[in-house]
Amino acid sequence: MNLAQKGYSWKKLSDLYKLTPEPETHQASVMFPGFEGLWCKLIMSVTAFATTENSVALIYGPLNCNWAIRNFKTTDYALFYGNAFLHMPTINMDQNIIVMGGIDKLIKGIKEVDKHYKPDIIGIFDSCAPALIGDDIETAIQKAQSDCHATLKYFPSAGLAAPWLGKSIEQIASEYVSMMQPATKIPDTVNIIGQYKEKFCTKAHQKKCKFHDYLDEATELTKYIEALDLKLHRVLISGGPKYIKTASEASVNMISCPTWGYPIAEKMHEQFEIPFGRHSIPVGFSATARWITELAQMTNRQDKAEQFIRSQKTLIEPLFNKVKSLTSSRIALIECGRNTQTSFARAMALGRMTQELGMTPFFFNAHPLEIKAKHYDVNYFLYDNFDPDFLFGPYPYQKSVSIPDILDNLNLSENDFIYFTEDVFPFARSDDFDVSNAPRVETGVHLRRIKDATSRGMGFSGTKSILIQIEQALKTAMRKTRPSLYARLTGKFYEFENENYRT
Amino acid sequence: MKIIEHNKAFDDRIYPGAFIGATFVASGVKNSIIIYHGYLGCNIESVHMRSDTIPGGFYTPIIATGLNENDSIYGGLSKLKDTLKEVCRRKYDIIWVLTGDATSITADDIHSLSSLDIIPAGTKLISLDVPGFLGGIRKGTDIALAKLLENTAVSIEKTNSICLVAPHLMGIKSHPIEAKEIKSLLNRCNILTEHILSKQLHIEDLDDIVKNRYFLSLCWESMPELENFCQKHSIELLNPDIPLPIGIANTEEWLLAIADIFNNREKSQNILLEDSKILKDQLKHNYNYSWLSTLYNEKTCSIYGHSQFAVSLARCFYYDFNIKPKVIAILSETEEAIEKSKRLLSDMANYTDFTLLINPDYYSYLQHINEARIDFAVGSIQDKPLCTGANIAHMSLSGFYFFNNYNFIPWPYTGITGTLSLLTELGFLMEKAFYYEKYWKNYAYKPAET
Repeated sequence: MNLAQKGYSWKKLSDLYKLTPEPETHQASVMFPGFEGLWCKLIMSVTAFATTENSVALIYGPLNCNWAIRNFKTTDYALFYGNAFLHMPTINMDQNIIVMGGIDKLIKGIKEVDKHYKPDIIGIFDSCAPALIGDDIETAIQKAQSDCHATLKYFPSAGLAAPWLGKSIEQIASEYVSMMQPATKIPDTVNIIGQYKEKFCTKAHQKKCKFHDYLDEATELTKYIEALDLKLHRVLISGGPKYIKTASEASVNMISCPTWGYPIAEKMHEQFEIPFGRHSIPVGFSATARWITELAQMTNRQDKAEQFIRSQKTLIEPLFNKVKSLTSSRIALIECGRNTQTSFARAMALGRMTQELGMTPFFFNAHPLEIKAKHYDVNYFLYDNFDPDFLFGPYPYQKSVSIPDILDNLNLSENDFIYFTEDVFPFARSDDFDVSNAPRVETGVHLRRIKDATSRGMGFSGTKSILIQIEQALKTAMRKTRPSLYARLTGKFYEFENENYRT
Repeated sequence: MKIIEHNKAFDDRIYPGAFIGATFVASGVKNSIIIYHGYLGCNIESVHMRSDTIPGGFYTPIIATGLNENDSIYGGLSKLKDTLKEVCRRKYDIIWVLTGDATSITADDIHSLSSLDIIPAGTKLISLDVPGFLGGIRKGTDIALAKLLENTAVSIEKTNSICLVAPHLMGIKSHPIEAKEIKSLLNRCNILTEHILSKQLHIEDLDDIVKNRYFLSLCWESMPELENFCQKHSIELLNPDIPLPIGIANTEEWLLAIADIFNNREKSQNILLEDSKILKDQLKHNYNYSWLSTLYNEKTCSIYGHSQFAVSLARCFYYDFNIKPKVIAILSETEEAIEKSKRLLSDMANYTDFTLLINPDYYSYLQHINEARIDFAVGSIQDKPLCTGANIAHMSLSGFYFFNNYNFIPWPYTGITGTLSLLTELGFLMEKAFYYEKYWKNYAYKPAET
């Protein structure tokens, strides 16, 4: 069966969004049978909290939840983003607590954690089990607070709530605003909002942590803030309680990741009247220029911005034009994280850049329910007049639509496209689809590491790095011989077995 | 030996829940499928722990019912039935249904599924209530093994053979390779070992698994369900006071203790001698080995891991390499494993001082290793940032096969020849611990500014 027979068709993002029911509804379950989501709110909540400093995450749930979080926290956030080891004391719920409740043990646990670790802040996170047995966690925290040195902050995180990533993040992100207090504004200061995973607090911190040449995004965006003679105030989510509390002193909020950024920025606007920029995730020359221009307009620095952007353009233009001449008739095949719910905003930001290069982006392996749950992201890209084609259909979670089927559906041959992967397990098969004959650009955020560039390709440095990657991928695909080991594992192992090579 | 038991209202250690133990067992049986009835955060953990993510494993699909908040109010049984119908379109030997915390609390009646007429003839349905709050990975393993063996096994004539049990509970990241090595070592000694519960197991294997006179547990925890099964089928569940076969002294002790049960000590000694030749050929007169063995000699370390692995490795380091483990942190679910750990460390305690931490929280572990001023730490990938963050060189060896383990060479750490793998790992660790890398960066040549 081809893609159409399997119920798939290309839709504009705006149409896909309208056609997809709200994830919580029965209609959604009917339209997309099978399971929904991939991770849980608890994993997302704690891993986000892990970027705060001198903090301890107290988990109210079984020890298994601790293990589940630690796996993600360590193998991704610590190893590839430098997050420190997060101490996660856990009130190890057993069958007795399930029957009798565990509030007394929780109160005792909070006090012991405060004494043992001496943290600035204890984030308290509940899992599915306490949420279902209905333990009154907020009252327990109130009771414990008077005996604790640390600030206690409750993050409702039951894994059963909001399995769709966007919804889950929206609920978690807003919690950080409740840690802030009204404050007098400091003129000409800017917060970067929606930074996630990367460890960044202050310029001094940045200097101290500059062990290598792989840039974090906040560092890149700070360059633009400073180029306009503005001052970076806070990067959220980052820092300790005092740092977060005083984020309300900034004059302007600018957004990096829309999924994390908008819920915080909107709430800060509502509570502290801090204006925020609409533009986010600036990947590509024009998108970066728009992000800077918007900041300049909000702070009356248009001349400075124009001058700065012009200087950057001079540096990047020759490479940009060269790559554009190679790509302008091609299709950008953008795989949204193998349908694992990870990649939407960054895939869109990349797609917007490919359009700038004269390519036509087609997005696939993005579950419609996950897109529906990321309404902030969708609204932003539509506001920015980017409404590309998405493959819409009855996706099962975590199961990718086959790339040969997509090539067949779009009637593409190997010289017609560039494949952008966005995650691990990229498609490859030595028989006909490999880096040696089909250009593949690695854009998965965790493993894409390019010196002097940000991992998602944000800003001018990121844009330059993507241009170089595209140029290199096209060159490599001209080889047409000696396929990579990765592709040989799924296709013909030797070239003598494969008539498509060396013919 | 100073012993410190964890005694706090909280825990912080790496310890998967019961459904992960069940997943390890289930995904070791070929042509099985697992339906994880619950919420997705737990499901993704079982997906990462199933057989096919591990070298030498095979694909066992895990389908989640993927419940949402509404299902926790109204129940998720209808989604489970729909999933089961979908699964039954293909013929599997076993369909496993595992619950997590929430579905266990809402008490969806998973045991009623066996009465549905959609289950194809010849397919076994095993429904297990194995939430995280029920216990740890040992508990889930015990429950799943007992259920797997229930009814399938028939009484047949005994053979003088061994069935290995629960290699994933050894707590070493390369457990599939180790299980294979241990099986091979026993067979070379003419100690017949055909089955591993459960690795690369076929459904047909279950029919004659009770023919084994012995089940040999590769973990030290008690498994009451399995003990009941063994008693019922006149199988002796071996769990003697011997270390795992890691390193020379441990392997000699382990193999000869088992050989004595089978009355073939002489053959086993010959195999040990045969393997020792491989080591001698590789290491004797080897300048690099001499260098390395002098470098690691008398150095101090900490070890963090499941009791049987941590204790066995500590003994190996001390007896074979003269490395002094100053802090040994053991993870354990049952008193049996804790007591055995103490017994198996008691001899070593006569000659060297160390602290035994029982189920410590990570912060306490860190405080102890800082205080002990150790040279390097051995643990799992999950505690690498903890130790490295304290400026202590770290090697990931314990735990389970998980992300960012980049050893693709199918050579074991266990057995006599496995010592070569341990030495290679120690070599990498010595680089991290003792090379003055930061100096190279600081004092690197910089041409004069013109």
